[in-house]
Formats: sequence, C-alpha cells, structure tokens
Amino acid sequence: MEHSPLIWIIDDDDLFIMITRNNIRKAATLVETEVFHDGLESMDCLKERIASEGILPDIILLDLNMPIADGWNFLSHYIQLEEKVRKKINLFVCTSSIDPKDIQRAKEFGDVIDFKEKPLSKEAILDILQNQ
Amino acid sequence: MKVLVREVEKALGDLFPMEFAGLYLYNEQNDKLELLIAHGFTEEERREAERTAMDRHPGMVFRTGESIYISDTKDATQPFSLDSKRSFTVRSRLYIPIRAFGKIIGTFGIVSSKVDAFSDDDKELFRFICELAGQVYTRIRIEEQKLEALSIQRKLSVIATHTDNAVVITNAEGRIEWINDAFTHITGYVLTDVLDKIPGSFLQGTETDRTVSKQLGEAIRNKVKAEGTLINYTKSGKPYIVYLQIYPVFDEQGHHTNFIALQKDVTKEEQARKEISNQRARLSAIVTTIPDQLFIVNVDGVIEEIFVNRPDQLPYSTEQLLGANIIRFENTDWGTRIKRALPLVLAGRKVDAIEGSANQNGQIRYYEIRLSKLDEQRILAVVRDTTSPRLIQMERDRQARFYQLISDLSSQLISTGKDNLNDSMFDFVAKIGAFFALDKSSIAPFDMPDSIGIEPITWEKDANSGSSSIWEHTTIADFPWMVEQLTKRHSIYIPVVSEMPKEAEREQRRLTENHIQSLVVLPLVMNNKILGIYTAKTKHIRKWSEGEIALFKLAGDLVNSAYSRRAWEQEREQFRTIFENAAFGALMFGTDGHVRYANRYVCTMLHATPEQMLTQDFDAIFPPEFEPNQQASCTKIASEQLRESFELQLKLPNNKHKTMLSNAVFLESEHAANSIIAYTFSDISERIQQEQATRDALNIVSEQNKRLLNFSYIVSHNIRSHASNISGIAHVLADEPEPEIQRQFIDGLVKSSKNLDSTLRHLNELLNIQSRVNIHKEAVSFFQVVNRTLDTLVVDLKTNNVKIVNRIPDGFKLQTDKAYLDSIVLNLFSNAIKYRRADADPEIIIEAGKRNTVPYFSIRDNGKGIDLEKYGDKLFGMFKTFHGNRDARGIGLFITRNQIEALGGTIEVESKVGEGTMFTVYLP
Repeated sequence: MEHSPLIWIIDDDDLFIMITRNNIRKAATLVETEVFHDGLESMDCLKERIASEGILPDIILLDLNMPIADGWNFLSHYIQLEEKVRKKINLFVCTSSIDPKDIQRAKEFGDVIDFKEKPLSKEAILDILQNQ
Repeated sequence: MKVLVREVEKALGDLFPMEFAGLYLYNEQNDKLELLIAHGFTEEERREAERTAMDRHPGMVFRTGESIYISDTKDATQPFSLDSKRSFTVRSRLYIPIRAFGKIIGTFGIVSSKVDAFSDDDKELFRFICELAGQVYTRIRIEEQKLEALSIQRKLSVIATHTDNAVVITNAEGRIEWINDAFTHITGYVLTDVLDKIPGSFLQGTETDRTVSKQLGEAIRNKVKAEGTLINYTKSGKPYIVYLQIYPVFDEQGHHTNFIALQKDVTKEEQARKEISNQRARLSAIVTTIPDQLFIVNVDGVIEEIFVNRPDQLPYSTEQLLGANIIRFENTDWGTRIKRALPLVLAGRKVDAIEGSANQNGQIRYYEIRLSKLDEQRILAVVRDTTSPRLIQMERDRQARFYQLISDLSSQLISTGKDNLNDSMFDFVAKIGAFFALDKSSIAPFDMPDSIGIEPITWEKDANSGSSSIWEHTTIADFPWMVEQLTKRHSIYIPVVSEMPKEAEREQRRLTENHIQSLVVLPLVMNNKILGIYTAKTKHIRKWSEGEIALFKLAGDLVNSAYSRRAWEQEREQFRTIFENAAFGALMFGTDGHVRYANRYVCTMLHATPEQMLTQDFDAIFPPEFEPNQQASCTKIASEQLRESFELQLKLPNNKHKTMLSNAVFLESEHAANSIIAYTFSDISERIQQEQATRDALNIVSEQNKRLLNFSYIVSHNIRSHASNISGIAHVLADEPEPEIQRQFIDGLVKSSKNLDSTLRHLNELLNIQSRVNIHKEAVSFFQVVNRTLDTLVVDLKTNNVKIVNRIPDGFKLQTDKAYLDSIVLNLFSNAIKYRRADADPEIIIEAGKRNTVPYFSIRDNGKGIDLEKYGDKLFGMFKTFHGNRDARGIGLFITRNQIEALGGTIEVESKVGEGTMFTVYLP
C-alpha cells in the first residue's frame, strides 16, 4: 500500500461512528477515517475532491437512513460520478435495516460491494480492509 | 092419326070378332115398332109386346115383308112358332105387313086362343084391310107433308124476306129465280139485274178464292150441301167477304128442284178476325221475347190461352195446361192464393205477385205469378220462373246467414276470456255443424312435433250415436296421407270417401268403418305451427260447393285466430306477471312522458298505488335537475331505440334520491299514441355506497397497511440501531482497558439505552394512537391548552427569549380530546422553539378561528423554515429530520399528524427557508 487506506464513514449516528472508529483503530492502526453526517455533506466533499484531484477514499461505509440526503440519494449521485473517479473505491452499505427491499435495492447498485449489518465488529472491518 | 086409328079399330071390331089384335107402326127415330092399336092387351101386355115387337113376329114381318101365319103355336114343325108364355092362351097367330110409299111401315098382328082360327078368307080380309090402312096412311102423310111444307115455306119466306142475310133461290140449273131485300142491300143488285143469271158469274171477282169457288161449284154439280167463305163484289165493284151456304132442294119424289143460297156478309167479322189474328201475331212476337210464360185465364182459373216460350220451364205440357185450372197446381197454398186473387183482379184491384213452387222431374222450380185484368171476363197471368234468381238469392241468403253466424261467433270469441275459450269453441263447432247439416263437427289436437296442444272438442248431430272419434286411439302413423297433406298446410275436401286416392287407403278404411262418406279436414295453424285440426263429417255423400269450401276456410281462420289470441293473451299475462313481481323497477311512459305502467317495485319504492302512478310523468320521478336524467329523457331514448347501463336519479317521496342503473327501450307503434318508452332499473345507490365504503375501507386499510409496514421497518431499524450500538459498545468495553475511553463508551451506552427506551415509548404511543382508543371529545378552551403548553415550556421560552403573540378569540373552544390537543400543541411549540433562527429572536404567533365553518388554529414561527419543495412529502414521515439537528429524532411530527387525524382533523404547513414556518390544524 502506498498510503494508509482512507475510510469514509457516512452516518448520522454518533455512537455508531464512535464504535466503528474504535474498531477500525483496533483492527488496523494506520487506517485514516473521515466522517460525514449526511449524504449531502459527503457528496459535496467528494465532488470537490474529484475536481481538485484531492484525496479520495478507498472505502466508503454508507448508512442508508440519514437526514437531508440519505444513502440512496448519495448512491444515485455517486453513479453519475463514476467515470470521473479514477480510483477504485469499495463501497459498503451499512444499516440496521432488515427491510428486504433495502437489501435488494442496494444490491442493484453495481458499485455496492456488499451489504454490512451494524454493528461492525473488528472482524468485519478486517474483512473490509483485506478485500481492498 | 089417332082418329084414324080409332076408326080402324072400330071398323075392325065390327067386321071381325077379335080377341087380341095389334097394329105396329115403325118409328124411324128410335128404330122400334110402336103399338098403335092394342086390342085386348092389358097395359102391361101392351108394354111387353111393344118392347119385344122388333125381336118377335112383328119385327120379322116388318123386316121381310112376308106375312106369317101360325095355325098352331104348339106345333113345333111350323116355322116361327116361338115358345112363350102366351102360347098357352094363344094358339094361332097371323101377322101381315103394312106397306106405304113402297116400303114396309108396320105390321098388323092378330092372334087367337083357338087353333087355326083364321081361314083363308079371313087372311084375305086382313090383307085388304092392311093395304087400305097403308093407303090411308100414305094419303095422310102426304097431306101432312104438304101442310108442313106449306108451313115451312111460309116461315122461310118470312125469314128470307126479313133476314139480314142474303137469300138467293135458284132453279135446278142454278139460275136465280128469287132474291130477298138483304141481297140487294148487300150486293146492290135488284131482281131485275140478276134474274135468270148464275150467281157465281157476276158475284165473284179477281180476288175471289178460286179454290173455294171451285169447291162450291163441285158441290152444286153434285147437288149436295156446300158452304165456304170467299170474296164477292158488289154491283159497284166493292169487294166484301161472304160466308156462303148452298142447299139443294128436292120435291116429294126426290127430284132436285132448286138451290137455296144463304149469304152472310162477314166482312166485318173477317176484318175483326184478321185484326185479332194480327194482334195475336204481334202479341206472340212480343211474348217470345220475354222470358215469362203468359196465360189467359177466366175468373174460375181455367186456362183459355197460352203463350209459352220455354216449355222446358213448365212442368206440364201445353195440352195438359189448356183447359186445365191454374188453381190446381201442386202447391195448394199457391192455388188458394190465386183463387182468391182472380176475382179481385177482375174487380180492378191490384194484387201482389204470388210466389209458389212446383216439382218438375224431381227438381223444385220456383215461380212468380202476376195477374192483371185483360177484359171483363179474362185475366192475364204472367208466370216467371224464378228458380235461378231464387237459388242465387237462397245461396246469397245462406252466405249472408253464414257471415252473420261467423260475425256473431267471432264477437263471442273475441269477448271470451282465455279461460272460457273451450266453451266458446264448443258453441262454435256446434253452430257450424248445425248450419252445414253435418253429422259431426269437431276440433282435435294434432300430435306433431311442432304442434301446440289444444283440447279436443266434439259436436255430434245424433248425440246418442255413441260413436267414438275416428281419431281416437290412433297416432299420426296411422294416417300418413292425411298427415302429409296437413303438414303442407293443405286443407282436405273429400266429397266421396269411396273415391279417395290410393295413397289414402288407411284413412279410407277407417272412415268407412265409421260410416263417414264425406269429409272436410282443415289444419289450424298459428305462427306456422299446427295447433290441431277441424273436421266436418257427414254420413251421406256431400258435394262440397265452392261457396261451402270458402265458408269452411273462413271458419278455420276464425278458429285459428281465437286460439292465437288465447296463446298471445296467456303469454302476455305471463310477462305481465313477471314484470309486476320483478326484483327490479319497470316503468313505461308514453311519448308524452306520462306513466303508462309502473310495477310493484316502483310503487313500493315511491309509496304510491298503481292508480296514483298513472298520474305521474317522467320529470316527477326522474327530475331533470339531475344531468343523467336529462340525458335519458323519453325523447332521447325514443330516438336511440335502445340504451343500456346508464344512471338515473330517482326522486323518493322524502325528497332524497337514489341512483338507479337502467336499461331503456323504445317500443314503436304505428299509432304514435301507442308508442312506449320502457325503463327497467335497479337500485345501485346502496351498491355505490357500499363500493365507496369498500373503496374507502380499502384505502384506509392499504394506507394503514403501508404505514404499518413502513412503521414496522422504521421501528425495527431504529430499535436495531440502538440495540446494535449497545451491542457494539458492549464489545468495545469488553476489550478496552483504557478507563478514559471506557468512560466515553459507558456514556455512549447510557445514551443508547435511553434512546432505545425512548423509541420503545414512542412506539407505544403510536400504537395507542393507531388503535384510536381513549379519544374523549369535549369542549376544550384553546386558550387554556396554550397556556398549559407555555407553562410546560417556560424554561425553554425564557432561555431563548421567545416572544408569544396571542391571537386567540375570546372563549374560543374546540370540540376535541384534551390530552391529544395538549400533545399536539406541545409538539408544535417545541418544534417552533427548536428550529429557531440563530440570528433572530424567536417569535411565535398563535391564531385560532373558523374557516368555511371548520375550526382551526395555527402556530407560526420565524425560524429556519423548511424547504417544502425538497422535503414536503417527507415532513410528516417517521424519523425524518431536515436540519441535522442531533436532538431531532424525527418522530414528533409523525405522531402529531397521527394524533390530529385520530381527532378527525387535518394539518397543513407553510414555510419559507430562512423566514419561518406556519402549521395550521383543522379540527372539525
């Protein structure tokens, strides 16, 4: 690895963020994380980074239920950015939803690697990191 | 003569003692010998002798002219001795003939009781006496004749002189010796003109009929009587017609001495006769042109003359009629009437024509006799044969009677209800049977696949005959020929059963068994199906005339129409009943929009009797203020013929209306007044309501379902979030040695579990709201509710320096649940405070009132506002937050809305980003 992998956590639940960050630290200390609380914030940042050729994440952990712009909103914009993203980004959807519709819908987005259930354990994070 | 006889008798008595003596004289006129002298005879003997004289001796002598002498009557050897009673007393007989004018004129007979009583001298004496008697007789007769001749002559000359008839006396050669005055009067000739001339020579002329004159000439030459009629000419040359009689006259010796010619001027008579003859000829000519026969009869009815043109029309020959009495014709009534009429006619009275009939060679002929006066003694009878016109008239009468019969029967059948049809049909077949003099008249069902059953009806002339129907116990297979005919709808007319066609062998056998000789079978057809058959049967041969066949056809038609009518009526009754009792409404309107018929469904629905319904019209029942009713008016339907499945609004008595689903059809009639627009409809208002209710329920349910599903996912997600956090923190804590970090995570744990608890509580609240229990509506003072809320939020209000503007009308009350209202108002206020702008002091305006009679209140803030375009539909969704506000769990508005809806109200929002938000709640 050239640089430390960057994981974006897009979620409005602070507690989840706290837990996940802790687990990431525990799993691999060199991993950087960036946190966004809604889809809009994160999408704007992504667009800006692309335009300015800034640092893009290697992994995105996306929550579905967020205010202002939820995960679906993010995904629908993300697809449009696809060509511009020269970097391979592994996108994971994390949710505590058990709605099969959500699962199905998530899988229809080609960019979604996988569907992850909360909470994200250390093992799950290792798994995500190793798949890079 | 008597004197002579007496003298002779006396003389004879003197001369000779006579016992029995008789003098017989021949009477030419009765060819008998009469006794002039009957000396010694009793009256009875005299009569006897006279009676038998011709057959006995006197007769013999008279005939032969020879005397007869019988000396002994008992001596059989003597000729002429006849055995008689007298022979006992009379023993000798002497008969001597008496001669005069050269012939025997009688016999003298003398008899004696003594045998041979007469000597030769005696005989001689008697012979002399007879001779003498003869001579005397002769003399007397001559004298008598002379006297007679003189007398006649005298009479004749008187007649001849005074008569109107011309008398001419000629000599034996025919030359005129004497003429009378009449001759001169007629002919113009005097005696001096014609004396010694032959009458024919100057009397006859160019026009004299040569034949007659020749005949007369012939008779004259033969010296016999002659007569004739011919034309003579007067002295002046004028012709006249004369009836001539010529008599030859003879003297005593028989020599022809004269002719007497009697001439009668019959010119006038001849002319008259010619005139009569001409008139007769004319009359004949006239009479031959008229078809009537003329008779001239006298007052007693005796036929004196006949003018007969058509002897074939008269039942009697001319010979039979002439001289016969017209009264004695066969029809005695006729004769009596004529007898009564004749004197009336002679008296100058007018008499009506007399009708009568006579039997001519077995055929009845009908006559009319008209009488008129010809002259004082004779009547002209004109006899017209009215058989033809009479028969035609009879046939016409018959037809007229039949048509009357049919007319009566058809009126009867028309007025008969379908239930009495059989009785009427029996009456019908009976009357037909009687009219046509049938033996049987019947209607029978015809068991064919396409026939409709009717009841058998039979009439028999002889009700006691006990014979069964010829169709009984048979099937159509028994009568193939008849079935074939009837199937083709042919009528069957059989005048003579024994002459039926070969193919009808079975039918013929059956009919013959039943003694039927003539037959008519008519098929009774309705709607092209055979109902049955009408049969007319007679036991004698009957040549069905064209007229009769036509009448049967008419009768058949009548029967057909009667049965058709019944079937039609039954059908009509069925449909009527069905409609009357249907589970849908049926209304019939005329083209004028007035009700013609309303069935029970309609009457019940409109609380009206059928009679009341008839006074209604379309607009009263389906008012035109409803658009569908206008579109479905009678006129509109009439132009379309048929419309299906359209709506009508029916006006009920309570002024409410119901929706009907209807079909309508236009039934056109030739008479516009009879055209009908018929609507059938059923009540779908309930159905519509039910459908609506169902739809509503469905909506609610599906909405609820959606929400519930949504709810369940969201809830589960939220719970899982908290749960996962708790779990995650727990794992972290398990591995985390650092107390600082531990503490962080323990705080987090506390938070998570609080959140979980809160979520579960909200869940509970929501469940309560969803089940809509606990709503207790009452009149709530809104001002008080707001006050309570402000009390609850007093800390936040103060901290944030919130200004409250109160625009609640005094005493404004809401009919609602207090607890719910509290919760709603609290939440809205909370939000208003929470989403305040950072750069301005928050101000909250509370209003209340009514809009369109609906009570409402509104809470307006000057906070951050919401971008309704982006988030409008998510506003009241569960767990949606719009500002990233960490405190917002997004359930508040969701619950609020549910609470408002549970109260039966609605909530609306207006908002502008950066300026503020206003929530308006309507609580009807």
